[in-house]
Amino acid sequence: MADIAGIDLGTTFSAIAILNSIGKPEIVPNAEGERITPSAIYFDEEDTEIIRVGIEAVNSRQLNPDRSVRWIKRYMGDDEYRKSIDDKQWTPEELSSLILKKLKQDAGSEHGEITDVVISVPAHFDEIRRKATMDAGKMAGLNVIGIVNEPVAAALYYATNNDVSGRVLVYDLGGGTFDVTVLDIDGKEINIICSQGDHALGGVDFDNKIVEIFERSYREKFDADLIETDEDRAKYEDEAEDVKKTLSRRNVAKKMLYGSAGSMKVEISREDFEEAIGPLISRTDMLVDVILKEAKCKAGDINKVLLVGGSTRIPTIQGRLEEKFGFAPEIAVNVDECVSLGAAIHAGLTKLRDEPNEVSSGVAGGLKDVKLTDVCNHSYGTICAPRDSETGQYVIENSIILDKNTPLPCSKAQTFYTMVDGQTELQVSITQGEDKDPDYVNKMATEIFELPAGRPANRPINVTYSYDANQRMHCTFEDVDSGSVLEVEFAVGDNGQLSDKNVSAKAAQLEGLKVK
Amino acid sequence: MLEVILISIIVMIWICFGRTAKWHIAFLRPGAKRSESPGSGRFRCTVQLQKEPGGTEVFIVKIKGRVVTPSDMYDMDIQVLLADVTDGADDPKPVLGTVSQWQMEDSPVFCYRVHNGKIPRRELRISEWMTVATIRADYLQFPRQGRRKIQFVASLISHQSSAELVCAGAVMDYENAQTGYIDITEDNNQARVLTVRLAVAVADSEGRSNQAQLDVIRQWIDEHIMACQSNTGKLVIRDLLGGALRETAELIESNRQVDIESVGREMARALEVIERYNAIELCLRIAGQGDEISGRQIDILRRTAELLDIDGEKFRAMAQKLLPVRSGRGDYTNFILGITDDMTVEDKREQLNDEYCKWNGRVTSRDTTIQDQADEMLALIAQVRNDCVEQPCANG
Ligand SMILES: Nc1ncnc2c1ncn2[C@@H]1O[C@H](COP(=O)(O)OP(=O)(O)OP(=O)(O)O)[C@@H](O)[C@H]1O
Ligand SMILES: [Mg+2]
Repeated sequence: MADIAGIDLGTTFSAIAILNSIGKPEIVPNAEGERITPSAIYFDEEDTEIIRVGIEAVNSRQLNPDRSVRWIKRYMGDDEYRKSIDDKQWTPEELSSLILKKLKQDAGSEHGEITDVVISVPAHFDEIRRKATMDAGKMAGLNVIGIVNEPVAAALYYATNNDVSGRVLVYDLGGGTFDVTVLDIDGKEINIICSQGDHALGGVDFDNKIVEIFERSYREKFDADLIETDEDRAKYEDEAEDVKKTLSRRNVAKKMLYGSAGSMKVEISREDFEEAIGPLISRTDMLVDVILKEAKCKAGDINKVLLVGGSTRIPTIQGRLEEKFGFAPEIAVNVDECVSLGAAIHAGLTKLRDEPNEVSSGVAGGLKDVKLTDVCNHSYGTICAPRDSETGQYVIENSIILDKNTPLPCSKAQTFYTMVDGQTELQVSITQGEDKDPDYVNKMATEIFELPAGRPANRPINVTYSYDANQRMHCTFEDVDSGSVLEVEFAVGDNGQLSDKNVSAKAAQLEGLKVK
Repeated sequence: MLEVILISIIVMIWICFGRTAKWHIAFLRPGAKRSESPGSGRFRCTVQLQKEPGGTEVFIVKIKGRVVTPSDMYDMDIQVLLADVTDGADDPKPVLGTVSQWQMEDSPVFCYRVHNGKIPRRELRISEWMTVATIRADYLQFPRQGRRKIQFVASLISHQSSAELVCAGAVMDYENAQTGYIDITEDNNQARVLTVRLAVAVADSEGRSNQAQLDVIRQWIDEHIMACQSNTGKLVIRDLLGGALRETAELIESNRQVDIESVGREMARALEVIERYNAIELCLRIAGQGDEISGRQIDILRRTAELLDIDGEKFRAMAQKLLPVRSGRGDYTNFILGITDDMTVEDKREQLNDEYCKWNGRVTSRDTTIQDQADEMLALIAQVRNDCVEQPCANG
């Protein structure tokens, strides 16, 4: 039987884990012997057939930033982003698929070929970004059997490896994203309560604040720009990360700055750094407040805070959490690895649910007591036109049908009414988002529902949304009088720009490329 | 709103073509002395005003006299029409019906018509006053508020052909407590003039307005001209609003200020709820076109919203949508984020958390404008929260 794997496709680092013969997840090191692989890509200049991924790409980046790609996860699902290399315009999905290809390839040379995987994504990723992630996996020749939220994966690993019970807050601050999840653990039974995330908060944002300090210091001394080219920027971004990591261990970090106006030494204290990242830290504080409110609990109700992600090594982050909750947060055994390890467990659970015969008895036995109840990541609704009680006017409004954080599987129904006499069609929109104002929600689909002619206004239309454990959403619109029904179904973000056929074609194209 | 538009149309038609309109002829008939018969048998009509137990006013219309029909077993209807003749019998104005059942077929003009049935013999004598219609005052809309002279015309007409057999009129004084439809149109136009004045005041609050702001006002005026059905109406509105724009601009140029208080109060009195919202939206749009939003502008906007009785949360949601995120000033930031002076530090945190949660949900919008706005909003919220922690929310 083929190995079942979990992949953490991170903004800065990625990792792959497989389930061993007794259903325990294990990290598979890459060809360089490292347990995590930098999510960096470099298109070789000399040999355009070779694409470097990982540490080699990081090392080559300063030579030619134009041919290098980092932090591509921030652009996942962005249909305007393109990286132009030679004659090809690369999409975020294609670029991500190169990273996945490297992970698959390196793991495959150690074990058998890896096909069935679950890839993790930030909890706040919307359907389009989830779909883009799946597409990237397919393009890399993987069979993506599911998507799991990163904090959920971390919690899965934690719960199956520790004897815990109670309410846990998973605090995942990585390279590019920040997620918080509240969940209840009772032995190997895990119930997700809710998740919140900030899409633009992570290690790279802290690095940028240090780059700003470099630039400011240089300008103060020489009245000149430190950074003049992309090469300079790439270099100082790396230096900044170095300073940041040093400041997690020491009170002061020193760096030489070599600009065209002269060179200087800059000294950055932990205080300087903390002041610079103050507003970013405030965002993490607010997100914790928000999630506690969403979980309808207080800091005192949380029994454990679990740290995940490399950026949680920053002392002030740990300090603030201790202050807020009154006890020290628990540092996950390995903050960089637990997401991929949990994703592998999730892959095992998915496989057991969908194709139990394909799972070896050892793996099945290892996972037999693990039970996970996940929730809806977003609210789903439809556009309607109720009358405003104050102005008496019809207003276009997004009405939520399926609330965020409803445990899966779930189904919710609501009745709407036709607006005018003789209405023969209804434009139905399926939306994702929490706002009432339709300008602020994303439309996942818009369809026309034909209705019988010659009827007065106010005929009831029943709308039912259901969401199953495989993250497949099913929507029905039923005209109660005539019994006619319109059905719309989505798998995780079916509305992405790529059809499955396109994805297969891209996968074939990418297959020939050598990834090192 | 629909009623207001309809009434405006009617009044416009009335202003322009009133004298030739079909219904108009009906009001002149009683004076034509066509079907009068001599002596005490003359067909007559009278009206009394009564108050029902619930307080509703009703007009009781009665008739008496002699009626001659073309044949025995003649099938008849009873009809009562009303006209407002306060400005003289030669200048009657229609009375409108507020219930579709008591309206003319093709217009909202009040018309009471019921089937009476067959009259056995050709000659009918009604010797005592007989009630033929009880009309609720709240089913009527008069041209203006206050003391009115209302003419009632009762007639008997053929059920088949609608040919009139007899008719008689009676005029009574009536104290109308409701706003009349002409009052409303005048108020509407006045309200629009006031809205323009206010808009110019917002644009010019820093002593200069830019082209983009004036364009917004012009566009708003154009929309109102377009919305008017009749050509005459279009001209009236164009002159009115164009004039208001010019006058206000001149007023400001000569260094005198628009009295926001009185303009706002006047608008609150004259404008429907939806129009008040439209007016504040126009003001926000204009402020949003400015290079920077000044403290004075914020004060004007806030005060106007207050005067117009705009719901605070709705106002802020509109402001967040239409105004730029950053303007560099603490009071503006607080205004945009909904932070007020009377909030405790804890209240402020709660407010910031709510705003953060809201904008964090919008940041993944497919619309890049909204994405950028959300990104800026989040950065702003984070900055304010950061300042809050450092100096217990001293800035706000
Ligand atoms: N000692 C340290 N102090 C501060 N930051 C650190 C330290 N070690 C690692 N980091 C930061 O952690 C980040 C990487 O963490 P991680 O591998 O969890 O992120 P990721 O999974 O790539 O990103 P994401 O989960 O956001 O997509 C980098 O920004 C790195 O600079
Ligand atoms: Mg991560």
